[in-house]
Amino acid sequence: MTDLLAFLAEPIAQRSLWACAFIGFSNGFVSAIVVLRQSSLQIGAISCALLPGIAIAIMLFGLTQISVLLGAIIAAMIVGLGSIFVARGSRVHQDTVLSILHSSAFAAGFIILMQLGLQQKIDGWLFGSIMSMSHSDLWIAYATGAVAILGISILQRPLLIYLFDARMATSMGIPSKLFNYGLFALTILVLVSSLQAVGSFLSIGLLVAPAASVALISTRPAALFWGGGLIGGLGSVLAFFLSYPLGWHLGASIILVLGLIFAACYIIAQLQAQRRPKQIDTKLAKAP
Amino acid sequence: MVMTQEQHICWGAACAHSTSHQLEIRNLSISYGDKLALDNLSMSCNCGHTLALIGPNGAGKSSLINAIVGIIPYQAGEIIWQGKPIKRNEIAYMPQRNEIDWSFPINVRQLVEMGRYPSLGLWKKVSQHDRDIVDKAISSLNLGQLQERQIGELSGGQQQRVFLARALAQEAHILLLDEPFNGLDLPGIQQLSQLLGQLAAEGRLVIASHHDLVSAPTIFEKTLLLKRELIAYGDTRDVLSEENIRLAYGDQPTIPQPS
Repeated sequence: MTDLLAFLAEPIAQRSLWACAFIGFSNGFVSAIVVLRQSSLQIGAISCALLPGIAIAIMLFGLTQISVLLGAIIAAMIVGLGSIFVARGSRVHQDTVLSILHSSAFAAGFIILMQLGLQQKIDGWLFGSIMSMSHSDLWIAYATGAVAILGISILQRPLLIYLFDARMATSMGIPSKLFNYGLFALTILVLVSSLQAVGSFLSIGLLVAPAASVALISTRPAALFWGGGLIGGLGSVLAFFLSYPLGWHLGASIILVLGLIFAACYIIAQLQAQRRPKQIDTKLAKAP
Repeated sequence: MVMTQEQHICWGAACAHSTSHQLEIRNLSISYGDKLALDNLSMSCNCGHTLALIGPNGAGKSSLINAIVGIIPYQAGEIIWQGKPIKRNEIAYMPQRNEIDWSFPINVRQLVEMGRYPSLGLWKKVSQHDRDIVDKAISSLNLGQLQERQIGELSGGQQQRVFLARALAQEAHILLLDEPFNGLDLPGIQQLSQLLGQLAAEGRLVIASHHDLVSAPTIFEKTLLLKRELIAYGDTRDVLSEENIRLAYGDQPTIPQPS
């Protein structure tokens, strides 16, 4: 306990704690978009494919923050749009193309990073390390998160109509195509900016699990955004306090805690469903 | 299931001859690439009626609905409502059942409330007035008991009623429904048919695509028979004559599906 208090007194610990809370919240908030669009497979594939983008950017421009960020964004766009493009002109489903694209992109990235002699860095990119995030990394993540939360909150009504049924949204005069690309871009930006926190392997958990947990127990779409944010933020903070005394990896702890929260919500939902007798069963339920 | 009258909905009979309550389609043509889906269609209909769009697959029913709703562009012609080019918020659109994601985490009340969003815009708070409209829409469609239910937990007929309630909450004058009778059982069909009649009697214009020639006369007052162009338009019983049906469907025997 005194260990933990001493640790918390250090500025780097406090900084990491804030980072957990805010990155957890913003990712959890945006996870509502991923869940409602049913695009978790796509975003998951893209997050794994960020690695070669980062690798090539480092190869070309050296290891700087901007090069890493830009490389990741470009790789995400290429894989995301590439999968749509290839699937359109061929007989295989987009999921299939996506799997091939992202696994081979991942392999290429891994080889390049090993060749560049960046073995020690690879762990950080794959599984994240909040502790080693620089000030400017954090500010980029905070700013991106804030823009995403603000934008989604302002556009919440047309967004919900669009997410529920794009055709109906068009019939009401909502620019569906713009929303489609805009939401994709926004999700990618949030993904990339928090990449160093949880890494490209684990980031999909933070961008799906929070809102998915809420979706199990709530029938209000707006709750997915704020509830997802709360679960993401609180779950990450909880993971922070677990990981230090137990000596667990912080990024992995965050994803594990969120997975457990999802499991808990699933059980709650099952219990709720059991307690509410179905219409047909009402007579049976009354019988002794 | 008593409908309460809303202030600015007109009465069908009272405005039967007024162009101010008329949907008019002038020389409408729709094509996808070089494939013509609808050729030079003209028709007009006053509010206060139920109108069926009937025709074989690929006859242009969906294209016509999508064009009126504004989902697809059209190459030529005009769609006029109350003497002016139609605006989007004047139509409530109900998509086909299989186009809806029924697992979407939304309950009945939230979905009906969505109908208020267009008039609320981005910022306006949901006022008591809006809540009253939502309440009224929900109770007039007998959904009071189901308000907190997730939409996937409802029966097919209940699901249709939720979408109708949203259309009521939108306070749109024109209701456009894409195959609303698909997948309903017999009581569901009767209930929905009665509802559409009531909505029209209150002065709305109810337009629906439909594929069952047998049930059409009992549900819809008017019918527009299509096969890329207008085959016949008028009272349903007159339009669905043997000759017209042969013109639309060709000589192949058409097996009327119990929808």
